[in-house]
Amino acid sequence: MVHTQGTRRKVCYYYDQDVGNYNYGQGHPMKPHGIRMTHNLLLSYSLDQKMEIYRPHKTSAEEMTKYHSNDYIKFLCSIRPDNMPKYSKQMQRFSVGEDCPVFDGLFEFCQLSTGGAVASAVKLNKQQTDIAVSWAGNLHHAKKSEASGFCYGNDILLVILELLKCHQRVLYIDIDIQIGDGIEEAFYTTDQVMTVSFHKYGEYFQGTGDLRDIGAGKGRYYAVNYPLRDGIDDEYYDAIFKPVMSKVMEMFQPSAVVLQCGLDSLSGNWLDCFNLTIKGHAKCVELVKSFNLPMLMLGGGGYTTCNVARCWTYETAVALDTEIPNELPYNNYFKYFGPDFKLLISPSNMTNQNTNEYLEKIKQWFFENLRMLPHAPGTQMQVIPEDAIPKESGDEDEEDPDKRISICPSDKHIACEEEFSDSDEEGEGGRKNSSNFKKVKRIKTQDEKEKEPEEKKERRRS
Amino acid sequence: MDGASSGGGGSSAGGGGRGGSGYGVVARFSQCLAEFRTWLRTNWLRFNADKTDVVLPSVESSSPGGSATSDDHEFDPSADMLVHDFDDERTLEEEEMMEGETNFSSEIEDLAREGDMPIHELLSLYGYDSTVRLPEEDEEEEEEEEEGEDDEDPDHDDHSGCSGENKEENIKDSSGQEDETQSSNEDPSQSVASQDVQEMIRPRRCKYFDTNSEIEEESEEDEDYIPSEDWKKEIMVGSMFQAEIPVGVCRYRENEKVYENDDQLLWDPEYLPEDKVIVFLKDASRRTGDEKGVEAIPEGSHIKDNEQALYELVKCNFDTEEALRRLRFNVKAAREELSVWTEEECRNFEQGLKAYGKDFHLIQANKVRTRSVGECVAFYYMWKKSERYDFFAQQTRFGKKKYNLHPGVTDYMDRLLDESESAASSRAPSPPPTASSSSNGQSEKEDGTVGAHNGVSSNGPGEMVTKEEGKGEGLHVNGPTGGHKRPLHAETDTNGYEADDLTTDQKLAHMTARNESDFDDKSERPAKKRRVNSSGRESPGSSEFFQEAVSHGKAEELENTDD
Repeated sequence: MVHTQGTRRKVCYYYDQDVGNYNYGQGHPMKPHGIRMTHNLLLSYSLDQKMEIYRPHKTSAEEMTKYHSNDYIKFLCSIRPDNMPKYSKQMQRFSVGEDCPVFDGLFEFCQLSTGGAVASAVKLNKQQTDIAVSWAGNLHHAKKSEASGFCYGNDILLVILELLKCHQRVLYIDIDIQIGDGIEEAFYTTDQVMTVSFHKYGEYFQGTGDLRDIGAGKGRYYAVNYPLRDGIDDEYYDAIFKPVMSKVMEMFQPSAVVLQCGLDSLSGNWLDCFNLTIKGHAKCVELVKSFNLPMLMLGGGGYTTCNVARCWTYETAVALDTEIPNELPYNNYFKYFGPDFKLLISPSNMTNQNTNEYLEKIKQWFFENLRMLPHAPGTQMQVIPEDAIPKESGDEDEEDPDKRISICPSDKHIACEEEFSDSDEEGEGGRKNSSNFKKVKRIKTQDEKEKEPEEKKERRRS
Repeated sequence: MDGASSGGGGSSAGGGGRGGSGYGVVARFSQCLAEFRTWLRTNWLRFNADKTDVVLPSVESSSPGGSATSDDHEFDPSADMLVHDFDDERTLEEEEMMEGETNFSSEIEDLAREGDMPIHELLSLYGYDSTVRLPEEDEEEEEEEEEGEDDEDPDHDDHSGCSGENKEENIKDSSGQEDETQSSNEDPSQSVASQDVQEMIRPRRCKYFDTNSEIEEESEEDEDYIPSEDWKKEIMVGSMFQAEIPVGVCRYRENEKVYENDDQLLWDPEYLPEDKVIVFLKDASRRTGDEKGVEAIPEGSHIKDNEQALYELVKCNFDTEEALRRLRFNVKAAREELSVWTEEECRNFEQGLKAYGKDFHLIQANKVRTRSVGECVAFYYMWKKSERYDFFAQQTRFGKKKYNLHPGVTDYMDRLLDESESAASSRAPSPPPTASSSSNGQSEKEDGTVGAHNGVSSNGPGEMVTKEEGKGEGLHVNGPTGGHKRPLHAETDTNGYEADDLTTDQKLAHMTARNESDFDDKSERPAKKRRVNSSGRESPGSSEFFQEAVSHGKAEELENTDD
């Protein structure tokens, strides 16, 4: 409403310089160093001057157990390259060792990446920023008690859980070439999180992501899987991303968005899979940003470090509404950007195996499904009376009794003041003053949530 | 294209679909079929009419069946067919009746392959226990339809398989529909089989598929089928898998960190107007630049200090004067730690890299105890684009050595990049880098200015490749700029080359005087190696210089084999 002038929004950026200092080992495609190169490129473009920069805290093991099982986190804490023999059994159990190798500082790396991601979520929750960026976050495959696909601790998951504290509906968008299966599975049965993933599907890494995976239980229709074929290019991608996302926004009406900007969908980044350029990839960012919702941008796959740096730099610039020249400025890793030393990359000439017809059909199929969603405003209207419920008691009652929960001081409560609050307000007043945000709205209670599936069912029958 | 799944074509997928629903099965099945097809082809064999025997093609009369070829296409489990045909409710039999003739050629192949399969494998493919029951039970339908056609030329079939595969991308044809329907048929039975474990979502995931399958439900023979999914995984539901969603309002636990306090603010753009910041940064870079003198790369250090300066500004509460003052004191601290690596550390690091690959833990533990693992990693990435690396890469092919993740998984494509990279850098048949570049490498290590300069010009010698039987090629492949020429090296084959090169080398050697001393201890290496490696072409000066390094590398290699 207020936020109509331009699209410039406040950006917070989380980066720990140590994050580049981890290496998965010989021959492993995952290279956290790309994050450092990104940072360096950002600096050389002077983009750092335009945003708030934070060095995030390290997530504690305890925080990680909010999703992950205690056993697993304990194991991650203690495993080191030099004590692997002792843990061989557990390594097997937690799928650590092969594509998720044990390397020096493994847990620290998880802590850092998760720290940045969760810190940005908190920042968004406090409404102290419009966009939070943490390129180190990228571990969307990790499961509750299992490492998977180079991912150990699922930071995105923790981020969404964090956001859910203040947001009734969180949208997760995954433009990595891989499906964000860890996220999808974790929120497969909830209607509060919609996961939208555009990915290559087929005989391919995770093996989930069929378009018929649409969620279960209450979460039915809240998982959207867009399977794509090899060779999709900017134009086609945009042609599906835009309408699908617009529809999702319309139907789901999230109050916060998490965008996973995995880069293995870029051209030349992977062996002949997708054929997106940086511009095409960043267009997704642009689009999501245009919805003017609190937005969290996270890193993801992407294993050609120079393109990782290029693209995330470009996307940071998009977030900042800043144009940056195509000519790369000198930076510490300049030589990695040869031979052309340009920011943007060009698509390859690979065949696009996605026909218009194919994409269109899938799109229609999604629209069909999205129509099944209870229209979001309806649920919102129901919500409002719930404000009357005393927040503390209500929450505590629903809590798992096994969990240690103490009554917290009320000023630690953080809530979404208004789901579609405009972010300009925050900038002026007491942006730093969290007590300004004490107002708590109860968003949804168990009752209403139960109602929703019923509604859905009715719709489905009709 | 994924060749693995290309083999069976639509009908093979149909067979798989009949046995069980999972695409994984289908894919695996098609893979088997593809393999068998290859085998058939390489042996010039084909099946007889009853598929009871493998015969030479000449034994049976061949009949024209080629028209069916285009329908043999890859089974692609993507959503394409799902979408196109989701409302196709014809039964399996109907479909086969209608479309069978177009699928004959591929089905023949399938059957042929099945025929060669060990019986237990076949049974398991079709979802039977290893207790031998009639394997034909599943195949009967197919056979009935196909017997007339099966005297097609196997080669032809093969070919059609391939072309069909290509066409299939854009042409949705009937077999795709068939696949889809069949697999949806099987969903209920699959769910029956697996429901006891977890509530599996997939079988019930989609309403219209459910209804379809209710109508079409037919095969009890699959009841005992347990999907063996190669790549396809289920999304699991249960408290084991889903996250606990926080209920409603935000609350922080008492002992929970308030993140804000722990996140360190490094820069906040809101306090100073942009132009002031720019002025400040200019000042900062000037002042720090003064301190560093010749050594600093202007741009490089500027970047580093940029961040540092901004942080300083934050710490000084955006008092630019104070920040500048502090910066002046802290210049030393602001220097990047990488530049402090000594030659010895570098050498040890390289040795470690050679010995352990990119296992930085071991490198640190055994070779570079003076640095942390993190520093080693950071150093590695700087080092990798120095000419020192180019040189190193020629000495060893360490980049290829240790990759042992699952070879069959397409997820690790970067391995190829890795390998092609290292292949490119070690493309030169024997490893004689020119003296100039090895010394460049040294100098860059120690002195960023020189390194940066050389980085740009290092491809100059690449020109030499054409004239000098590719000796320098590998070395310069990694050079960042492609087209820059250096006239100096253009005359490599002439006598002038030696003199020129020598002078260059000596110049560079001067700049890296301290490195020379490092090499001196190796200088007693036998001269014959020099001959071998350099084909006697180098000038005395250059070869001496670089020979040290080469022999040094050899020594390392020997060391490594011991490890």
